[in-house]
Amino acid sequence: MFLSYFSNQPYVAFDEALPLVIDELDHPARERGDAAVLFSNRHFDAPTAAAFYDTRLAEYRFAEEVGFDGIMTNEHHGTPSCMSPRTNIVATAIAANTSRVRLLVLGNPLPLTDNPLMLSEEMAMIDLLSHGRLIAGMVRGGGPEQLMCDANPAFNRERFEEAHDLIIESWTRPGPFRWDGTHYHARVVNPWVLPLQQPHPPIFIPGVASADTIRFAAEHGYPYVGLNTTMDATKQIWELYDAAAAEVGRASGTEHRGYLMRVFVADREEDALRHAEQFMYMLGEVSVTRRPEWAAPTGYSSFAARRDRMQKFSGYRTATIADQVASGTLVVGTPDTVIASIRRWLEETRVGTLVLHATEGRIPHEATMRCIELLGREVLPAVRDIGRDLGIVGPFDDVDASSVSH
Amino acid sequence: MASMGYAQRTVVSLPWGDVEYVHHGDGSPVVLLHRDLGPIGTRSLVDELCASHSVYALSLPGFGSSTLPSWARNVAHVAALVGHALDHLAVGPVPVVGLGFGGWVASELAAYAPSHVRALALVSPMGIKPAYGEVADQFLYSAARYGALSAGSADGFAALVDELGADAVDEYLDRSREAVTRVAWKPIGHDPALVGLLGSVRIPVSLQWGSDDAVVPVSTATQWAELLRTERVTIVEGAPHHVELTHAATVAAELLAFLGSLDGRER
Repeated sequence: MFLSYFSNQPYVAFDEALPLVIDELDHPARERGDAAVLFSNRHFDAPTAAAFYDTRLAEYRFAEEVGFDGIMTNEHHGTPSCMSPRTNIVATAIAANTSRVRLLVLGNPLPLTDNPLMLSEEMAMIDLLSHGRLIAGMVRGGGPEQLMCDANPAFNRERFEEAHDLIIESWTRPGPFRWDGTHYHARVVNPWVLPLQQPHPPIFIPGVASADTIRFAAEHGYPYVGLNTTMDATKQIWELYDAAAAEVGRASGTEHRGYLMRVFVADREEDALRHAEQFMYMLGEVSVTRRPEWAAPTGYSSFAARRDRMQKFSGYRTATIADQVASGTLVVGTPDTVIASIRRWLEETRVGTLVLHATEGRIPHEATMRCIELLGREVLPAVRDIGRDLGIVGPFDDVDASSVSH
Repeated sequence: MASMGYAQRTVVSLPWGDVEYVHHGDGSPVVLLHRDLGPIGTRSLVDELCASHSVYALSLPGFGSSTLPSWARNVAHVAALVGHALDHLAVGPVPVVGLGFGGWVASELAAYAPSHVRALALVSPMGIKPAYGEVADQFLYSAARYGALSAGSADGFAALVDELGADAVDEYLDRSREAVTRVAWKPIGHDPALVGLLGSVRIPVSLQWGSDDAVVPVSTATQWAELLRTERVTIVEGAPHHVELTHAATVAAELLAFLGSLDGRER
């Protein structure tokens, strides 16, 4: 199995109630509860943010020390929920702070860029700097990202697929050559810096169960990582993935299945539950997804698909902690409790990649470090045993079984 | 897809797709181009105009049942498609009434294909960058809030979409927004080239604007007037961006007077 650690890198140095206040300085389109896009950055404090980064890097180093196989990074823009507006920069910092873990960049939001070749070069550089530890995840980018980066949501899917093709081509076809696409045009494709892993770094695709994205991953043989989807939805993902892979003659297996699980472990159940309440950070009344026109902007996908997406987001926002724990979308407790929950997930969904989103909101650094320690010392070994017992193969357990040479 | 429910819609097929329009009245032809929320809320205006004119109210490409080809990427492309439609309808050169976003399309048409446009009647048009303030960014608002901003109030918006039927409103407005997304995502509400292109346009122009326009600042009327060399500017006191929704008779009176002033002029 491939077991990875993840932090959303939240910024929390403002009054929790602040997003619920509208004041005269606010943009006229801002609504009560908006905590992104138009939530003013006058509430940002740079020295505090610098200290946050120090804290996160300490947690990443510790995650490697206790035995995680990888560390996942992501990217969001214009929101305190995520202090990573450039996933490649965070991955580079982690590369410099670690020596063993794979850098699960999940991922670069391709449609946001007008120059995919810069992403190609950045990812190649990270792969070289880390001596072949990069997993080059690729994503469409969330709705707010389209607004914050001025990326037209109506062309998001087309740009994602074309940027993907251009990047792969830039890594695998000797230059120089020209690229005359629909959305991208490059006079000369000839990046000097190329990845260490050949023919290119492994590619993972995350998502919240968009059928088109699942099919894209399956057709290319890329592992798909369900982002905290429900157990039923996760099982449906694999039905679709397996069928789509079969249609193009590709084998699919547990090595292609990934899941991002929100989890918190403490020495006592009550402490774990208390801290896990922070997983409501940026959910509920204050949220980055409460505005459909931002979370799923017109054109991003069909009207019906976006309506479904918002229903899912609404479910995430309105579910209580107790609901989430009961449904298994939030796994909380002592190591024994958490191991039992993960066993159930593995039995039901058979994922070969498990990303543990193991801190959130205002959970103190000390509690996060203890959580990482308990995960590393007790949970991860048990999960590996469970995976072995269940015959679950991870994407890096058997190179031949993985879709991408590395 | 509900649109223009008050009239018989006609759909014609052109090489790149379909164009939906309604045709009312007899007399000299007039073309009406709608706002960014879609071909709704113009019934009163059309009723006033069609008493003395042959009114062609087009659903712009991407709106209603009209097709927006996948390759169309800006408002000038939309204007070119409108030009094709006018050719097909054998209408032109013709006075074009452009409301808001439709005023932008009409202006691009006058700039790129002046032979189609005999005169421009612009009602709170988008298309040029305001010297003061900015064009509201509909993508930051829900459809309902943007609609209320445009119509002047939530009640005004409710009246505007009433003809669609409650079940159809969300999807209808989403289709309209998608058309705008595809051709006018950025710059927001204007085309930097249009100012240069319109400098050479020499046709009669009428401008009308609501004093309380919350979408395109009313001060932009002065820029348009200078650019198009017209003194025919009417500011409708207390009116929102959707001037014709709240002050249909006022807007229609000026349009009829303007159209009347064209009679006898050399085309």
